[in-house]
Formats: sequence, structure tokens, C-alpha cells
Amino acid sequence: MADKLLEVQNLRTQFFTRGGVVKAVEDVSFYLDESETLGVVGESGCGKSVTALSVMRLIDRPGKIVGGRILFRGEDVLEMDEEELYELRGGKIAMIFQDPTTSLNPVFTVGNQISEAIKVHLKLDDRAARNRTIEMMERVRIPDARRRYTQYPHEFSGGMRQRVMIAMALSCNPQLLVADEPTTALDVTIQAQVLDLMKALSEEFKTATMLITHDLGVVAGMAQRIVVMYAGRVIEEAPTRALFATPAHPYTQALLSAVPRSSVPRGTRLTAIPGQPPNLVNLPAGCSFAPRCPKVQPRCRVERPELETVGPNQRAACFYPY
Amino acid sequence: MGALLSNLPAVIALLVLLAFMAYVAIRVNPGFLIKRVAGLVFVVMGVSFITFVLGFWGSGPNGIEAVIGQCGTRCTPNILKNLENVYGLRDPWYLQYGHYLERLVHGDLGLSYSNRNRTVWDILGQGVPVSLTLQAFAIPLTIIAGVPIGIYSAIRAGSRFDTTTNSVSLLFFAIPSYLLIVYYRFVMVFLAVRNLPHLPVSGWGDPIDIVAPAVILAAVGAAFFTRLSRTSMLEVLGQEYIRTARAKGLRERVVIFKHALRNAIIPLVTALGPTLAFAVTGAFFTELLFNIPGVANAAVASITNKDLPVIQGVVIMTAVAVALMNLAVDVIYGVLDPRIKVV
Repeated sequence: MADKLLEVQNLRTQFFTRGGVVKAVEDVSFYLDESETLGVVGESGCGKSVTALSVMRLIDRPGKIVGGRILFRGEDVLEMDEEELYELRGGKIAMIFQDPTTSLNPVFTVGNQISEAIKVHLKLDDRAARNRTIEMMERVRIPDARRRYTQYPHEFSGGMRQRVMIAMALSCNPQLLVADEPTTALDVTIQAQVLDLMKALSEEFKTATMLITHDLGVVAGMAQRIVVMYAGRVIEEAPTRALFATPAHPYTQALLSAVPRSSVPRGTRLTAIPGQPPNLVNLPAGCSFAPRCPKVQPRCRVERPELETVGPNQRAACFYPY
Repeated sequence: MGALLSNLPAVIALLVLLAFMAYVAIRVNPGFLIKRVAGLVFVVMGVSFITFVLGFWGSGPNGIEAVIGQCGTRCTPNILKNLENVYGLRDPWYLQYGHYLERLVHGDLGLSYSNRNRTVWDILGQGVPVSLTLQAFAIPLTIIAGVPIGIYSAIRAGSRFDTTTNSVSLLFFAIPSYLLIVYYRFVMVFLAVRNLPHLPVSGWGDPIDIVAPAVILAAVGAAFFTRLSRTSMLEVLGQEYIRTARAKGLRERVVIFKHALRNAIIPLVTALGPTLAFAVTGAFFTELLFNIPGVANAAVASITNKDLPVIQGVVIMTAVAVALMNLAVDVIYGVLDPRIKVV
């Protein structure tokens, strides 16, 4: 227990909208070890981002964390007061968002935005914070960092902006980096560069990473373990190698077969998972994936399967795994 | 010197304008400035042409009605002919407009049709300081009341404070200012009749006279600025960079006053430009109903008298003010928003 960096237990986050209560995250549990990279995979709207924001306690109204525990080094984030949260955010857990264009404030210089976090968490004066900022900008390989310190976000390219976000996130030596789709908004050619950089820096800084993505290709090369989410729940959890070799849950299998491969002959149609993810206001009874599942059995429609061990370190929420 | 002191707000407004122009001359690149000044000349030409043409055919043949009025009861054909010569009314319209433009280039707006002893400048020069004095109180009051309430309303969106503010500002925004003035009069008369302390219902000259018109103008303006700043702030608070700022561990105070406010102010500057520009034209209903001798009052009188040169003077002055304020807004934009380059 003591060696877990982050332990999320039975987290439930809901959004109270006019259309009803959206159960965005239901009973989600997972953990991260120190310096580990965990991939969180799932399609849009499955609760990945809400889980990440919940860990930072950044859920805004009408959303609310209604249950569970989030233990960061044994301390419950949900019990923290404002002061402790200010220290946690940016200082112990840092976050990178999907779209670096909208995630940076357009009216302040990049240097200003990186250094303000440094001043708050590392308690450095202006001069030292400036030096630290320029050092961080060099670490994320922004060329000519000293000059670019005084430039505004619009003067940076998309890839460079995401490097700014990474520099900002890592500048205060956080123990955990939450990266929410960090490469989704970037060109494919830039994606690999940014991922390599994140990998190298998190190893160098000994930062654990929670990498949220819908792209299995991204987690394959980055994560040691993977958590697969569907309709607000964790449906499979496995070491990366095992997940790719022997996916237990039919949803994971379907996801993997939907990845385009260069080995299939030309002209073959891409595989898709038929149907839509369920409405999170009125979840069907039983397994949420049942309506789309190719292996569905009568039992799946009435009873919800719990996460159960199906192999070494591998757990899946399915009555009929593999 | 006494005249200078009594027009202190107007003098301050003028100094601010001069300081701003000096700043623009230093900071803004000359190409941009030349383009904008050329634009200004074009605007003045266009506006003067349209007002002249509309006025010429709108105010009876050759603007003669207004002059007949001036000629009065003792009017003889000789005096009238003489007056028509003074104003050049016998020329065809294009010559009249040509002469008008020629005088305009020399900064001469001509003589009033209803009183040949008064130049248009003279009339404007009397009205503008009065209007500016009134606005010098009303506009700061508008901003001081409207913007903070709107910002706070956005921060507390959905709260009782927010819904109350919304209803009240909508009410003031929807009620025409003259109705407010009528209500105000009712209240004051009610108080006066019962020998209770009250404010004057109309007039100009005493410092106390300025209170009611300034507050009523500000109430209407503040309602607009409350709604605008609320919308603007709400939009900014929903932006992702606000979430980034929070994720950095910044205090809510810093998130709001540094990251959000700076962005929310930008659209407010756009609205402030025309508000300031129309300060020189005065507030029509307010000046009229409170009997304040400002430009708006002079303008209304000139319309009643078909005094074309004065109407033109007011319109051209308004056009110049709007153009200058738009220039000011653009320059301030460049300072507030680094994505816009005018500097």
C-alpha cells in the first residue's frame, strides 16, 4: 500500500444537468506506482478526462465528485482544504491538456505563464524563476529559449505550444503528470516528437505519468500498464504487453481490431465497432457494452460483471472473457 | 481664468485626448496612422456631403425658410435678398457645397441660419463643454457601477445576486431614459410638495444640478455595461486557459483578476469607444428634459429651426469623434491583445 503514488478507489463523478444526472465516472478504481506510466484508454465520452480532472479536484459545476477516495501518497485529495489543493495542483500533480492553442492564455507571454507556477510552488524570486523558466524551455527543446521567453502563445507553433505546456507542467518537479490527450490536437509528425520528449523527461524527472488517450498506438510505446474505460467504468486493466497479446474484454478486443494495420491487404475495409456508446444518463441494466458486444449472452443484459482477475495482473469486467 | 475653471471636466477631457494623441504619434507606426487619418478625411467628406444634400432638399428651397425666420416681422424683400447673399443661398447647390467644403478646410463651419451674428463654432463652443461636463460625471459613474457588478455577477453565475442583477439591468436597459426622467420628476415633485429634501427637476449652473442627469444617464449606461461585462467574463471563465491556470495551483484571486479579467476587458473597450465618442454630441433626452444647454439641446433647436449649418456642424463633429474614438479603440486593442498588431 505504501508504495502507491496514486490510488483511486471507487471514484464516482456526476454532472447534474437539466437532462438528468450524467454518471460520467462510476466506481472507477486504479492505481499508479512511483515513476510508472499508466495508459488510460477509451473512446470519447467514456470518462477518461473527467477521471483526470477529478484527480486534480478540477471538476466545475454542474459536475461533482459524489463518492470514492483519491489517495495521493496516502492523503485523500477529496479531504484536502483549499490551501492543500493549491499546493497539490501544479506542485505535486501537474496536468497537460489536449489543445495547447486554447490552453495557454493569449494575453500573457509564455515566460510569464511558466514562471508564475514556479514562483508559487518553488517560492523563487523573479530572477530565479526566470532562469528556471528558461532552463525548462531549453529542457523541452524550445530553440532560442531566452528570446522566446518574452513571446506570446500565438507566436508559437502547435508543437512548440505543447512543449511550453510540458515545460510548465514539469517546472515544479511534480510526482505525477496527468496528460489528457496530449498529442491529439497535433500533426502526426509532431506527435511522435512530443511523445518522445514526454517519455524522456518523465524518466529524467522520475515523474509518474497518467497518459489519457483514445489512441492505442500512443500508449503502446509509452505505458507499462493500461486501464481501458467504457461508459464511465474500468472494464479492463492489464500490463501493456498482456493487453495487446491477450485482450480479455470483448471491448478491448474490438478496439484492438479497429486499429488500422499496414499488414492487411490494400482495399480491406477498416474495422469499426458497430453502434454507439450508451447514454450516461440512462445506463442499460447489466453490462454497458452488451448492446454492442459480439459475444453477448442473456446474462450480460441483466447482471453487471465486476472487475475480476483473469490472468497475471490482468483484470476484466466480463462474464465471458477471452 | 474663471471660464477655464468652470469648464474643468471639459479641459481634463481635452488634455486626455491630447495625451492620447501624443502617445499614438510615438507608439503607432506611421503607415497605420496615415491610413487612419486619410480614412478620417474621407469620413468627414462623406458625412458633410450627405448632410448637406439631405439638409438642402429637406429644409425647404435653398434653406430659405430658416432665413425668413431670422428676417422676422420687419422683413422686406431687400433685407431678405441681402441675407440670401450673406449665406450664398442664390448659388446652385453644388456651388454652395463647394463653398461649404472650402470653408470647412479652413476650419470654418459657417454662420447660423437663424442668427447671422453667431457662427456655428460659437454655438458648438457653448454646448460642447456643458455636454462634456455632464458626461465627465456620467461615464465614469457608468463604468464604476456597471463593470464590477457584471464581473462579480459572472463569477457568481446562477446565484441570487446574479439573477437579481440580470433582472435589474435588463429593466434599466429596456426602459427609455426619458421615462426614467419622468419618474424622477414625479418623485421630486412629490417630495417638494411635502417640503422634504429633494433635488432640482431641471436647470444648469448649480453643481447640484448635475447629480440627477448624471445618475440617470449612468443607470442606463451601467445596465448595458453590466450585461456586457457579465457575458464577456462568463465566456472567458469557460476558456481552457482558465482551467490551465487553476491546474497550475494559482489562487482563485489570481485566476480571476489576472487571467480572466485581462481577457474579459477587451470587448468592453470596443463598447467604450462609441460611448466616449457620443459624449461630445450630448445625451438628447436628458439634456432636453433637464433643460441643460449642451450640444444636444442646440442640435434639437437647430433641427426645429431648420438651421442647416448647425446641424451639419453637429453631425461632422460627431463623425470626427466616432472616427477618433475608433482609432483610440484600435490602439488600446493593440496594447491589451498581443495578437493584434498596430504598434
